[in-house]
Parts: sequence; C-alpha cells; structure tokens
Amino acid sequence: MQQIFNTILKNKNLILFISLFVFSIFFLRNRSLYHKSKIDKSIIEISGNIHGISAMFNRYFNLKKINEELLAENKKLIELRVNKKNIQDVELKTIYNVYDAEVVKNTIKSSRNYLIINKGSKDSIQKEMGVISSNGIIGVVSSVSENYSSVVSILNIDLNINAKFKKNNAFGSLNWNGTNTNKVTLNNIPIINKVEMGDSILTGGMSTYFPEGIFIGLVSGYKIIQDNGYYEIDVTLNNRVANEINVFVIRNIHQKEIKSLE
Amino acid sequence: MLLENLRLVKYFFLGIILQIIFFESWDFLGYIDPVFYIIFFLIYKFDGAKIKFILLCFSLGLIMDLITQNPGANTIASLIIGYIRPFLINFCFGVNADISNGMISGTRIEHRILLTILIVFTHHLVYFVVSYFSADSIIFIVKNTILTGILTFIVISITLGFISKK
Repeated sequence: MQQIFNTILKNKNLILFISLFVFSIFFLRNRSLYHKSKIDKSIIEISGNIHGISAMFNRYFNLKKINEELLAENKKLIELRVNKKNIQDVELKTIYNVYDAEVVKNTIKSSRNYLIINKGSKDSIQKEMGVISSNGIIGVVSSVSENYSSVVSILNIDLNINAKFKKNNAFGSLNWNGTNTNKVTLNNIPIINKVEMGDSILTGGMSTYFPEGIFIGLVSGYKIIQDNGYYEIDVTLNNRVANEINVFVIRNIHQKEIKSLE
Repeated sequence: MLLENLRLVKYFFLGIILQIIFFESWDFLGYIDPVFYIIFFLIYKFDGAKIKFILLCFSLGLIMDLITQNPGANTIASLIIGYIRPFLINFCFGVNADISNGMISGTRIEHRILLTILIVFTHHLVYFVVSYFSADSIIFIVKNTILTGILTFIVISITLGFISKK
C-alpha cells in the first residue's frame, strides 16, 4: 500500500496532467459539434479495432452455428426464387442496396444500446442506413468512421421504428421500453383494429431506414390504453439481437430525395 | 512569498485582460492576433511548484476559452505547456535551469529567446491542431502557427525586455 502511495506521489504531476487533459477533451467535445463528431469517429475507430480482435476469435468458435444460419438463409432465398414467376419485375423495383457486415461489439445491458460493425465510410456506409439480420431488424447507423460504424440498436429506448400488422396493414410505432431484450412495444394502433396473440408484425416502410415487409416478431400480449383509444402491444422479437454476428446494412437509394421533401 | 504570489496573480490577470481587451482585436493581416497571455508561462519562476503551475495554466486556458467562446483549444494548449515547461527549461538552460527568475535576469539572452520560441510555437501548434482537428487542414495549421507565432514572439519579446529593464 505504501508503495502505491509512493508511486502516486512520485507521479503526481503526470496524474494531474492526464486528469485535466481528459477533462479538457470532454470540455472540447461538449462545446463544439464539429469536435464531438471528430472525437466520436476516433472513438468508434479505436473501439472497433479493439473489439474486432475478440470478435475474430468468437467467430472462429461459432463457425458451426454461422454455417447453420447460412444454410437456413440459403433455403429461404431458394424458396423465394422458385416462388417468383417473373423475377425481372421484382428487380426493376429494387431501390435498396445491401452491404454485408459483421458485428464487432454489441451492448445489451444499457437502456441505450448500440453495436459497432466492421464496415465504414470506405465501404459506402452512411448515417441513417437501416441494419437487419436474416431474422429481423437490428438498428440504424448513427455514426460512421473510415472502417467502422456505430449502430443504434433496436434495444435503445430512443429509437422508434415504423411497423405494421401483416394481416391488416395497421401502422404503428415500435420502440423498446428498456427492460426485456426479447420484447419491444408497438404503440399507436387504434382500437378499431382487431389484435390477436401470435399476429405477425412487419416493418412498415414509411421511413427510409427499412424496406416494407421485413418480419420483426409476433404479438405476445396487448392492452388498451383507455385514455387515448390506442393499443399497447408487446411484440416478441424474431431475432436475438445480442447473438447476431452477420448483419446487412440497407441503403435506400432515394433516401436523400425523400428526406429533402420531409 | 506573498510578494511573489501577488506578482503571479498580477501577470495571470494582466495576461487575460490585455489579451481580451487589446490583442484579440488586432487582426493583423486581417486575421492574426498575438497570444499575449503566454507571457505568464514564461514569467513563472523556474523553481516554482510544478503542480501549482499546471493548475494555473489549466485555469488560464479555461478562462480564455470561456470568455472568447472557444471550444477548448486554449485549455488544451495551455495545459500541455504547463506540463512540458520544466523539460523545455532543462533543455534550454541546462545547468542554469534552477535560477529562479531565469527569464528576467541571470541567464544568457539566447537561452531565453530559445525558451520563448519553443513555448510560443508549441502552444500555437497545439492550439491550431485542436482548432482545426483535421489532417486535411495541415497547411492552414502550419501557416497559422508560423504567422501567429512570429507576431506573438515579437510582442512577448518586447514586453519581456521592458520587464527586464524595469
């Protein structure tokens, strides 16, 4: 213990300098949006590099599971292909570009969770692109550095996603309430719509983040908010956000045009 | 001791006040202002308490940033000078580094000039790197460091010469 105190006393100038320097960086970050953006980008880059190493080992030990997921994904695509009568018609309507990426960091313990993926501006990733996995939605890109991107997870209380019922196209807003990582809440569905347990919830397509019709999950509970005439619906997510490794970043090629009209 | 502390307080606030009232509005060649408060980093006693000096440098930079609405470049530049000044003094003055008022008297003029140049240009380099915060702006950083540094050096040298004679 005495040695620890001696070391601290011996390096008191350096310790004071580092403490004040860290304070100065926070001070700078809070006072200037330009510096905040630059510092955040550097933090994503450093964090991505550090977590990329551990993610590399994790991926190696999860190869069996990843293979099984890829087989299931292939099966789905083959089913889709054989069921399309005229695939050229579908391709003409394509307005989304898809980029594959791997998750290098994923938080689920906070109320504002985020992920870091190993693709950045170098790979054409931009802010406000949607991120999905083969089983459902993951989040929205919030910040991009050269090689990595930060993604606001669907398990983030600040994120609202447009969603709808598969059976009757009733639209609402989906968000996480910060408790159960497998469940999200669908709000703003008027009570004139009939809701049943097990109903499928899909992305609504009313935002530029996600295309319409991506499966999100199933209704696992609901109640009526008496004051305003809307349902509060519990949706059990189809995917386990915490376990996702391979994800796809989606870019709506008309996003800028749509945003300019909003 | 009391007199010495009063002298420190005098230069601390004199640096800030003159910087804000007078030197901030110079706009030499349209945009260059000398950084006068640097004089405090030079006047502080060579054998003064280092921990007190780091805290004073940090406070000086912070006050300047708050008053001039700067995001924080003055704080970081001043803090770095506060930490590295003892190394710069040893580098410039060698065996004479323990002379208390080495910047005023008792040391060779070329050593004082070298210390002034190192402190002024290090401060300005850090200041402009933090201000621009982009590798693409390297030309502006170097240009502004050199031009502002020369102007600051002239102003500081004249003031130090005046103090020495007094």
